[in-house]
Amino acid sequence: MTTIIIIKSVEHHASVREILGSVVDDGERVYFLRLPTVRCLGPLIQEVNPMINYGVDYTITPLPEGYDVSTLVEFATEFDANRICIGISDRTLTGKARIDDLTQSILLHDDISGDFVVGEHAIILEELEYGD
Amino acid sequence: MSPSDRADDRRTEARREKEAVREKRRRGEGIGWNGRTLREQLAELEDKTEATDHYCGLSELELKNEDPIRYEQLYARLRGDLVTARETSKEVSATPIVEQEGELCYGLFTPEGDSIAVSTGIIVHVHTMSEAIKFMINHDYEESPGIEPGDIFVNNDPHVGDVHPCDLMTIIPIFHEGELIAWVGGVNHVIDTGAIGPGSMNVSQASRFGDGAYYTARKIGENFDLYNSWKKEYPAKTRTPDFLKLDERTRMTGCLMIRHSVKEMIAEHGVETFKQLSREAVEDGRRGFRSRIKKTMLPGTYRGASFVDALYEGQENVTREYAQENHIMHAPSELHIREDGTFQVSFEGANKWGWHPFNCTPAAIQGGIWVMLTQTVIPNELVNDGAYYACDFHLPVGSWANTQNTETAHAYAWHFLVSAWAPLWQHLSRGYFARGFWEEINAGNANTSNWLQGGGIDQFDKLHAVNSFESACEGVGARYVEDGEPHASAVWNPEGDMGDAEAWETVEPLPFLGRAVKPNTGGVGRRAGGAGFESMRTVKDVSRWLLYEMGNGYMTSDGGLFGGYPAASGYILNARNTDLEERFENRDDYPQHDLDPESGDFESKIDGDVTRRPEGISTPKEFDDYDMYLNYLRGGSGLGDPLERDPEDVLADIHDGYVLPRHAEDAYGVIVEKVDDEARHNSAVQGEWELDADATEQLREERMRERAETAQPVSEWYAEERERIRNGDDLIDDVKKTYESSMRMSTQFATFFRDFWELPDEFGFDLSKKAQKSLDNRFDSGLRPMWDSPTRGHKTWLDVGDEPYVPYTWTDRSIRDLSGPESTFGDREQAADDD
Amino acid sequence: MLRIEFQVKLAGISSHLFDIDEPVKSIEIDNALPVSGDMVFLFLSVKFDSEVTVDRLSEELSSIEVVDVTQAELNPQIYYLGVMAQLSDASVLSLLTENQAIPHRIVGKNAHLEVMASVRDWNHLKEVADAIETEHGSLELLGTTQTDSIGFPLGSNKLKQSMSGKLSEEQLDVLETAYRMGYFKVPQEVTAEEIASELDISRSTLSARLRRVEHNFCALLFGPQE
Repeated sequence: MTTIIIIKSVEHHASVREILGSVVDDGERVYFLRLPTVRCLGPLIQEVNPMINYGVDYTITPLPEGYDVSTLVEFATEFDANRICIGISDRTLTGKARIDDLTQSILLHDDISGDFVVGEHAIILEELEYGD
Repeated sequence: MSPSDRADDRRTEARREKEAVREKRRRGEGIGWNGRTLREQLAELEDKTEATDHYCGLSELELKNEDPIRYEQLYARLRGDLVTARETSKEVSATPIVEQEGELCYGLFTPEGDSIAVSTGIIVHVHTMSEAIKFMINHDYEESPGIEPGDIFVNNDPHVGDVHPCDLMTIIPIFHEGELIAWVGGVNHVIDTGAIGPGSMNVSQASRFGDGAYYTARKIGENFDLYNSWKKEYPAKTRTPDFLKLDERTRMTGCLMIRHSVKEMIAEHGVETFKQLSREAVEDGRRGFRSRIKKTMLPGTYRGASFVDALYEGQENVTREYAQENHIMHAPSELHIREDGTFQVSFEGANKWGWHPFNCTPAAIQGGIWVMLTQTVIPNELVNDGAYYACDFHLPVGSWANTQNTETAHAYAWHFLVSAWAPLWQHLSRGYFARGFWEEINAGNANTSNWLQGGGIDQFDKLHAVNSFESACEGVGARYVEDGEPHASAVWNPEGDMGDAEAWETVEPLPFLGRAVKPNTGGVGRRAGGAGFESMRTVKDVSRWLLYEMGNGYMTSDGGLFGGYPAASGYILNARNTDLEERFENRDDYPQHDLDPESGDFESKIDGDVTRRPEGISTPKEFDDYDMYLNYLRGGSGLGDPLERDPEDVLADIHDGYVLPRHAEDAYGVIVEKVDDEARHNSAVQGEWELDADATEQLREERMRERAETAQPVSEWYAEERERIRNGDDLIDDVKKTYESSMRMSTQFATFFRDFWELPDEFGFDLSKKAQKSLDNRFDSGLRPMWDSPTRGHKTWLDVGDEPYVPYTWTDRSIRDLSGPESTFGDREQAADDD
Repeated sequence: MLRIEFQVKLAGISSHLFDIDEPVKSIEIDNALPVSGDMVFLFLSVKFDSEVTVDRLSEELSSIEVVDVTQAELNPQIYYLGVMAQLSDASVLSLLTENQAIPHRIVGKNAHLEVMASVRDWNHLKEVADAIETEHGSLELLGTTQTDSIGFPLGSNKLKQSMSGKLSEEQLDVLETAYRMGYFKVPQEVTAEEIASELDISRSTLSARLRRVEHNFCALLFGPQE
């Protein structure tokens, strides 16, 4: 199993902990995809220690400046990701997980589908299937 | 290609590389591997290393396993290039400290700051430079001030990654196609750091503000050129600017040579091979260390303690009145060896830091312990940070071993450091003995002193400072199978050398009157500790010239092993206002040595104000022309019962100048008879002696009988000692203050101490008002986290709440609790059997 | 099941209402009932920036077939409108129902239609979004949450309508703040002082407003006090 965790903010400790703790299985492969809005995931990794605390092997990859959703879907397709997880950084007035442009682009992308789960701190897209 | 062509090429290449780096950064990528930032790479590495117990999760050494010969060739080439860089670049330096004695070292580091290989020399910095690099990574230097091809960094801050501020390090990154693929660092000991007194390790300051300049991991140049601001700054902060400039060129030369070698290796073998090699070398080092520990040690907890004195009562020129007090360093030490070869060192119970420059930072302790381990557990070229990953340390926060305080001075951290690891030699040696590795057993090292330092206006009428590194040549501790090497090296630099007298004289206005092996300095034992030596110096053509001593005085830091005796303690001998000039003019005899301090020989050959006292430290005091100064370099400790030493060896010791004839009888029970007054052997000792074998045998039998008669059951001894502690009547204030300080520092130690001596729960020593005030003053000073580089290793050091991270076994566990007497090393860890 | 919030540009009846001269703050579709063919009854709550008269409103809405206009009792800026409209005037609503999504709220404000609806799953969301985007151009997803039940679909919120009309803006503000901060939970998650501080009013003002709210609720349930 392969999971992509999209990191929009270095403050996403709770999201990463929720994803690693209750979504990702022990021994799974995880890709931390750093968006250009985040310069460095170092402090987050130092805080969470994904392998020590959750037993997952992982890679940190930056998404280049000016990326679009197709770059991300290509990445997911290339690594045949079973899941894409996105941290919830904000909520609407009615308490719903706020969806930003990137999340919307993924959700409405034609070439990717699967199950959609909204957790406490993360949106989880799983059982992913890819179109042509 | 001429040197200037090469420099131009290097700058052109740096500019090209810099553009590649900037392009990556514009794309949002970091300078680490595969677009990661260095901090991400470090965080990931530490996480994976701790989680898998393999460096960076490397469970297989693919490069090594696939082609072991190629792997060894590549590693040996890297290591060889580091050694070559050191040997070549040290000729650039103008100080005998570097050029003669070799107080210089280079390291090649992974992007995360782990040493892959180090040169010979002061390999204490196998890990201190690592810490400086990790500090820069963890404080986001990649963002500000930026880390780019051609950049140059400096550090000498012991809170960041150094032992003491006189070790200046130059660190440069090596890039390949936009990625930082390695760092190279060089470090050397400079003559003068601009402290409140002249010399590299002044002793009169109460706080770090008298230590001299601290440069905290700073960028000082780019495009391989130093910033003008730096070129103007540091020479103004030392008494010896020209020497420091040449030292910097030395370090730059070596770093650039090593960078060139790395680039060549990448060109020949590809960057992926280099990356793999660098990772595997560290993992290989880690496995080698574990494997060796498993082979040579028994699991369990090894305990010991050491002490050393730092006496400031009555010293002149101390920067604060409250610093005029005596200190005794207390280093209770535990080594935990576990079945899987893990190795933990704990100093729980260490007493409080003091108003002196002998305090340590974690980097200092770690570097210090490393240099000792590299000469014991890893006595080969595979010295790198792999071993760091096989160990951890517990250094109580607020103790002399980990001050975490803004004010503490660190100019000569080695004084406590070298003394504190004395029990570590014994821990290892006991393990070696149990496993039958007798050739590895060592009784300990010399207290690496005296340090002759000072400065003023020199023979060229220039402001100058001196720092004699004859101290790099001390006696070595006795081994189980051989005597310790006399006047051989210092533990912090196994390549150390005393240096040519003429070389020292070119930079020091202190002509040598004599230089000789010093008798009775090596500890006596079945195997004798290596003897130290001495230099008698005078002073010439100076004005307002200061000199001072530094080292152990009343106390010997290494206690000897298996019945062997410690090395001789220290003392100070100076003569001022002498008649030496008249003696020269009249061609009269004058003192060249102080071979037998009790003989009165020195005093009989000079008129003047002679100071002879059994202490090791003095603060700067003024010397004038024709004054005299004894530089006494210590011996190593002994091993085994001296009555078991072959009498023929004792006779040879006399002729070699290691033992005074009258002490052959006192210490070894060996009777000798002088048969010739004129004969000379390989020493300053004149005369020929013969062994009286029968008398010797008789005396030794008598001594054995005396021992049996005077021996006391431990229970009696215990009862007497307990009464001394309970009453505290005949304990000096300094001793009581030391133990009281340890008990205040550690409830675990206090509990142990009271339990062991069956003292009341509320027991404490009655201290004088002055001692009480001194402790209050320092305990009230509070903590400030000076060590704020959040690495996993540091977490271990600082993670001290109510319960230490490293289990404290004095009170709640004993060796019996480990795995039982039948325990052997298990197979939990499949370490490579290849160290 | 997913509850989603999204917004599209104003369209249909909302855009007609925003076009009138009177400054409109918000328009919410409270209910819709089919009439025949393409016609539909729409029941709306319209909130104005200031008080308007019913006559003025009827005059302004001459282009729409208004069935009924009622002014809220205590909040004169709110009007309940019943209109007969074309299905295309409630196109988002009809697109949701045609695609089997459950509409919960459709509110026009700030030049957008904000919509809350329930969909079965991710694929269903895509279908619905696709249909709406085809008709309305771009759609902006605002938020989402997971839910086990449909909850209150559009039009079932009569009680809220009745009650909110009985309360003034200030009273609604006090009530909502107190509710969201956990004042009515047992045990209370917030003190009256904290609510007063949040609203920047005095403790006694808060207390008076909350009592009036309770009084109005009782009036709604039990009739006016004799």
